[in-house]
Amino acid sequence: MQFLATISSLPFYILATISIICALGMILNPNLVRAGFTLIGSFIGIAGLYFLLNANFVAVSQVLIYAVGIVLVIVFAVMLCSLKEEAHNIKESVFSSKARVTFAVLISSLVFAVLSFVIRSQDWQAIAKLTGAERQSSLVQLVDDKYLSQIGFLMLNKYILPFELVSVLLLIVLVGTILLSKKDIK
Amino acid sequence: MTVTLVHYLTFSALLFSIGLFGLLISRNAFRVLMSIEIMLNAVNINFVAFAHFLDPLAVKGQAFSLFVMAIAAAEVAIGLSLLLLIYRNRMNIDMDSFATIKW
Amino acid sequence: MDWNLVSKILLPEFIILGAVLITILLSLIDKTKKYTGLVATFALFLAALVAAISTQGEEVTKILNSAFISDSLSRYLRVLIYGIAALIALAATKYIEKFESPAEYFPIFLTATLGAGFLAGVNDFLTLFIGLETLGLSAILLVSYSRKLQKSNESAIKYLLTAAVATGILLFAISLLYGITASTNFAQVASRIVQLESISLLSVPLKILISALLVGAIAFKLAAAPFHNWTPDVYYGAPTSSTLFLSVISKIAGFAVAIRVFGTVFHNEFLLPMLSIIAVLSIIVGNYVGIIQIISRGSVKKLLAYSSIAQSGYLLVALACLRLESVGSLLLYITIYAIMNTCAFACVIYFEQETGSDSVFDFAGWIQKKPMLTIIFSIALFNLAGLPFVPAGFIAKFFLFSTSFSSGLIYAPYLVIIALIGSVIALFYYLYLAKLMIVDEPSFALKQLETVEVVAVTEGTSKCGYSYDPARLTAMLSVGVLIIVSIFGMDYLQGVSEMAIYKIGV
Repeated sequence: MQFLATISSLPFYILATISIICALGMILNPNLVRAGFTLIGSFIGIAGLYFLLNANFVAVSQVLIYAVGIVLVIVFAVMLCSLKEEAHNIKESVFSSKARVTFAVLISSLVFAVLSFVIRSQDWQAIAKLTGAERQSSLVQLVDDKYLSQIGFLMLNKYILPFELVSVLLLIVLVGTILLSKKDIK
Repeated sequence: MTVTLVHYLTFSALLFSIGLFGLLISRNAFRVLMSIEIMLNAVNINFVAFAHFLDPLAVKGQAFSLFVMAIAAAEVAIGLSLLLLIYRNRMNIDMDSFATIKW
Repeated sequence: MDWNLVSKILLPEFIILGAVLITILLSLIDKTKKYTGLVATFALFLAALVAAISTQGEEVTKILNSAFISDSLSRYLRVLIYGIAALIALAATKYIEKFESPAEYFPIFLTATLGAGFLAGVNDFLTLFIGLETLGLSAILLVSYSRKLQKSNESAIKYLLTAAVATGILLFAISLLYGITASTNFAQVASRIVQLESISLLSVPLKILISALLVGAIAFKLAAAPFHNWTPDVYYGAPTSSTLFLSVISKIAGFAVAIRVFGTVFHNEFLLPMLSIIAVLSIIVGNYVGIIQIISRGSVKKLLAYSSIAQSGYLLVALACLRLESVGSLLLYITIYAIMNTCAFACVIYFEQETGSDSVFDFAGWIQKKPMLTIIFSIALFNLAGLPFVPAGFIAKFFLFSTSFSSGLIYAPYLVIIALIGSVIALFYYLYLAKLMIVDEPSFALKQLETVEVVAVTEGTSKCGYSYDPARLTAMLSVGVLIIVSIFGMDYLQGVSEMAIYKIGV
C-alpha cells in the first residue's frame, strides 16, 4: 500500500523537480536565448501539474499561452536585440557582484522559509471539511469533461464583468504596443 | 505519502522564491521579465491547487488562473515593445546602464 | 440578470466605453488630431454628470453576480474620478500634440479611467485584479507615451517591472484568501473569514502574511513608502499629463480599493499597525526628500511626486484609524487634494508648453510673465501645504487630523503629531517655490521665451489653434472649483463624504 502511494505520487515529484530545475536554469544560464528555451521546460512541467490537478483546460492554455506564446515572443525579442552586437550583449555575466548574489539568496530563501512556515501553520484539512470540499470531490468523479463547461459558465456568467473588462484592456494594449513599436515617422 | 494540498503550496512557494531570486539577481530586463512570469506561474499553481482541493465543484480558481494568463500576456507585450524601443534608441538593455533613471 | 438595472447603473461606464471606440476611430479619420481630446473631455464630463444625477446610488445594489456594487461610496468616487479625469483630459489636449501620433493618447486615457471607475465599486477579487490591471497597464502606456524620449521609456519600463511584482504579490494574497474561503466575492469572503475566526481555524501567521501582502500591494498603488521607489523617477520621466493622472486618479482608485478591502472584507488587529508604519514612513520620506529636491533645484515634477508621497502618508493616517469619521474625512481630503493637484500640475503643463522645461529654477519670476497663473499655482501650493489662504485645503486637513486624533486608536495621537510635524516641514518647500515665482527675478528660460515669442509673432508662425489654452483653462476651472467649494460648499461636501461612508455595503 505504501509502495503504491509512493508510485502514485511520483509524477508530482518528477514534474515539480523538472520545473524547478528549469526555472533555476533560466536564471543562471548566461545565454539569454537558451534561458528562454529553458523556461519553456519549466512551464511545460507546470502544465503537467495542472493535468494532475484535473485542470485540463488550464493545462492546455498554459502550454499554448505561456510555453508557446509568451516565451517564444520573449526569445524573438531577445534575438532582435542581439542582432548587431551578438556576443557582447547577449552574454551577461550573472555573477557580477558577490554582494548582490548573497543578498538575493538571503532574501529569497527567507521568503521561502516564511511562506512554507505559514502554509504549514494552517490546517487546510479543516477548511476542506468546512467548505464541504471532501463531499464535493466525490461528485467530481462523475464530471467527465474535467470542468470545461464549468469554466465556460463562470466566464460568461459569474465573471462576466472582468471578462468584458479584459477584452477592453487587450484592445487598448494592442493599440498601445503598436504605437510603441511602429517605425518612426520621418 | 499521497500528494496533498500542502505539497502543491510548498512547491508554489519555492517557485515564487525562485522568481524573486531571479528578479533580484538579474541585470538584464528580459530576464527580469521572465522571472516575473515565474512568480505569476507560482500564483497560478496556488489557484488551481486550491480549486482542486477546496473548491472542486465551482473551480473558480481555474477561471482566475486563465485571467492571470491573459494579463501576463498583455504585460509581456507591453514590456517587450518598450524594451525593443529602448534598444532602438540606445542599443543596450542593461538596466544598470540606464542613463536618466536610477534603478 | 436584470439588464435594465445593469445598464442604468453602469451608464457612465458605457459612455466612457463608447468614447474609447469613438476616439480610436476618430484618430484614424481626423487629420488635425485636435478633436479626440475634446471628445474624451466631453465624454468624461458627461459620465461624471450621469453618475452624479443617477438615483441608483441611494441604496446598495449588487449587479452582475455581485461583481460590482453600487452604493453611496462607489457613486461618490465615480463622480470624483470621472470629473477629475475630465479636467486632466482637457489639460492634456494641447500638451500632447507635441508627441507623434497624439490622438491615440485619449483612448488609452479613457480606458485607464474606466479601470479606476470599476475599482470604485469593486466587490469581487477578480474585478479588483482586472480593474487594477486595466488601470495599471494603461497607465504604463500613458507613461511611455513620449516614445522618443529616453527618460520616458526608461521610467515606463521601471514602472512596468515594479507594477508586475506588485501584481504578483497582490495575486499571492488573493490566492491565499481564495484558499481559505473558496470564494472570490467580497461578501462571501468576509463572512467566511468571520466564521473561521469564530472557531479559531485561521492560523495567525497566515493572517499576518495575507495582511502584509495586501498592504504592500496596495501601498505600491498609493505610492506610499517603503514602496515608493518608482514614484519620483516615473513622475519625472512621464509626460506631465500622465504624471497628473498617476498622482490623482491612481491614488483615488488605490484608496477606494483600500477602503473596501480593509474596511469591509479583511480587517484584523495586525492591519492597523502596518498601515500606521507605512503612513509614518511616507510622511518622513516624502517631506525629507522633497526638501532636498527643492534645495538642489531639481524638477518640479519630482517635487510634486514627493509631495504626493507625503500626502499619501496623511491620508494613510486616517485610513490606519479606520473609523467611519476618519474615513469620511479621508474622502473629503482626497477630493480637495485631487482638485489642488490637478490645478498645480495644469500650471506645470502650461509652463512646460511655453518653455519646455520643468526645473524648479526656471520657475523663478514667473509672475512677471503670467501673473494670473502664478497666483493660481501659488493658491494650489498653499492649499497643498494646508494654509488657509483659500480655506478648503486647511479645513480638509483639519478634519482629517482631528477625526484621526479622536478616533480612539491608542497611538493615533502620535500619528497625528508626526503628520503635523510633517506638514510644517512641507510648508518650507511649498512656500519656497511660491516665493521663487513671486519674488525672484525672471529666470533665463523665461527671458529667452520673450525673444522667441517676438520672433514667432513677427514671422507670423504663432499658431495656437485654440481660442484659449486648455491647460490654462483647466487651472482656472480647478481653482474656481476650489474657491467655490471653500466658500460655499465645504459643509455640503463634508456631509456628502460622510454619507458616502455610512451607507457602504458589503
